[in-house]
Amino acid sequence: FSSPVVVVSRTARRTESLGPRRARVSSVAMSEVEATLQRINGHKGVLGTIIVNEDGEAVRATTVCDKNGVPVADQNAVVKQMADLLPALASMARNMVRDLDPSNDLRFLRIRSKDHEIMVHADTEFTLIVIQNPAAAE
Amino acid sequence: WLAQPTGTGKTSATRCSSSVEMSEVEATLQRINGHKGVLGTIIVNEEGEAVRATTLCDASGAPVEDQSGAVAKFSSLVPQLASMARNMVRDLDPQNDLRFLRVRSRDHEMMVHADPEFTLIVIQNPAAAE
Repeated sequence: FSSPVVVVSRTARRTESLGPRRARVSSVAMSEVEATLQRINGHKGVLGTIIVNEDGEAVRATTVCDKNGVPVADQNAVVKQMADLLPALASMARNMVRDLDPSNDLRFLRIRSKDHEIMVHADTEFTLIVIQNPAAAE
Repeated sequence: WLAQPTGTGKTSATRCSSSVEMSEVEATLQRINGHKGVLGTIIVNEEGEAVRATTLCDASGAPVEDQSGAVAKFSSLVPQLASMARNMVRDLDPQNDLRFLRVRSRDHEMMVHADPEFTLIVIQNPAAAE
């Protein structure tokens, strides 16, 4: 994640087309993003957080741990897998919500499995994925 | 309760023919449906047919006009999404399995428990439930 990244929030959308100003405007947004990620990741039971951009690339990820709190061996692979699979599933969920009612829209998706719970907020610009251990969180 | 193993591999139709089990199912459905904010509950069998459904309401509590159509839509779409979610969970870790799925939309929240034998769908108004 060392390449320059612009996290485009709704309020900063216009800056996407500007060249040299990109770094100045995005530094404020970046620190907010980092602070938010750290805040989320600090919650009890959170095993990892990943932000995926609209191209399907993970632009931010905290260390992903398993349910015992041990960092997963192959971080890049896990992050890449989640970045590939979860936006696709969120997209299917959005389609299903719209099939049921065209005026409705997806807000949030929670997938609870045996080992952990994955929470997904899917936006057109980015996807936020938070993995938590539901037992610890409760 | 629906998924209690009989040990004989009976079909779901045979399993559900027990009047004791049926009353437990009905009681459970009514209990769930009685929770504040619940707009409807649907049970879908493994063939994708809705075998039990309470009256579906919209966010304001008014029954949806086309009950059969709405139930049929939920029955066909929701198990498919649950199946995709299960596949995704297994792709991430083959030893893991899906337990529960919650889809929160602007108007309501769907909670899905998917089993090989049945799918339980509960629709609630998240604002009322909170």
